Amino acid sequence: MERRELFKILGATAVAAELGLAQHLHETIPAETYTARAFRPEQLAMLNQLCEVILPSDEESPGAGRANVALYLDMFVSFRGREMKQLFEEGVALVDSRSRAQFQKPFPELAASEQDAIVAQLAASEQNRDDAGGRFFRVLKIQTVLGYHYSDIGQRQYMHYRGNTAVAEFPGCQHEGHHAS
Amino acid sequence: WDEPHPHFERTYQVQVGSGYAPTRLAVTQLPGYGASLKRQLREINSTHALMNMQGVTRISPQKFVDLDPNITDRFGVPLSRVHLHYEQSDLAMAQDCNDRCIEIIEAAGGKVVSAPGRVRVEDLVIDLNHWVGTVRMGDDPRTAPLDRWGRSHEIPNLFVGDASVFSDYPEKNPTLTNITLSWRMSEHLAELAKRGELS
Repeated sequence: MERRELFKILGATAVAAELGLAQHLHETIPAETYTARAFRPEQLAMLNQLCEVILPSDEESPGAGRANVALYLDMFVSFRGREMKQLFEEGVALVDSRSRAQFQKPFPELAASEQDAIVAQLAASEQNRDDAGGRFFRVLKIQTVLGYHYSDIGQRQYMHYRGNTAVAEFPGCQHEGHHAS
Repeated sequence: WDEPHPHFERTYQVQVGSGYAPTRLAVTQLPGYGASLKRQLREINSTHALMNMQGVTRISPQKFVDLDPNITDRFGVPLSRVHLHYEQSDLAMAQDCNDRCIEIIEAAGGKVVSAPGRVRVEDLVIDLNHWVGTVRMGDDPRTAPLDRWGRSHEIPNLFVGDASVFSDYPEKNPTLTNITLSWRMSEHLAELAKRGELS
């Protein structure tokens, strides 16, 4: 793949610092023109909903699902290869089967409280490397947080990132209570 | 620096960096998900300054490359498999780095937000930016495919002149060593050619 093409694709939603490319991003294209590499549309839809439960929308900023972090996950997984793809595919399948077993519906159709219950079960095993759900959740959580920070919504609305600015002098941190003496 | 450490072999270096997203380590050390996770990320201020290490792994028979018996590329050629098993020495080195970095940050008046604590094998990662090794150089043909000049022990007219000749993963970024070794090999090749020793 051409590097330039890669930059454009990464710009679709989020940047992959894992790939060491974050600072090279200059262009963005609309998410609608992104072609998924690792996941099917229904998997992407479920991942976005999982992302939204992990980092939800609030009065301050839209959540990770609304930031379309699933597209970052798609890019991340497609670059990380076979084992990572298997981890995500099995994780998504596990979420689907638990949703159907416990609430008789696929995950995307569950009520918010039911989705929360499913994610809570995964999160409870977050530190347990012998648990398939816990292993999936651990990676999903890290990458959701990173993808959110690299997304346009995450950068501008959550982080209040305004781009690099040249300053004549450095005044130190201006946050209340952070000011260095 | 000039004396061996009692608990590990070889050396490591520490790099300092920063970024506008949290580190993976910080995320794994924040429990849970949802509104509380988002709030905690905000409270630790997401952007980070970090210290991380680059260490020489111990050379041993537990670290080697072979051919995959089951998986081939589209030409039917077996893919290589990297067997990287970290050992007690590697873990002890990382633990030493963890402890020293905490000392340095605290001595400078900083506060450590997240650290591995007791370093486990899962905390160590392959340096994805610097690809070295797999066809290492060495005097003994039983343990190294290339001699000290990068020439194959088995095939006299085969020379390897890139970072794959490294006998271990260095604690320094490898480019200058890579160039130096290639330069050295080129001069040696030219010398052999002048003497008519290349056929």
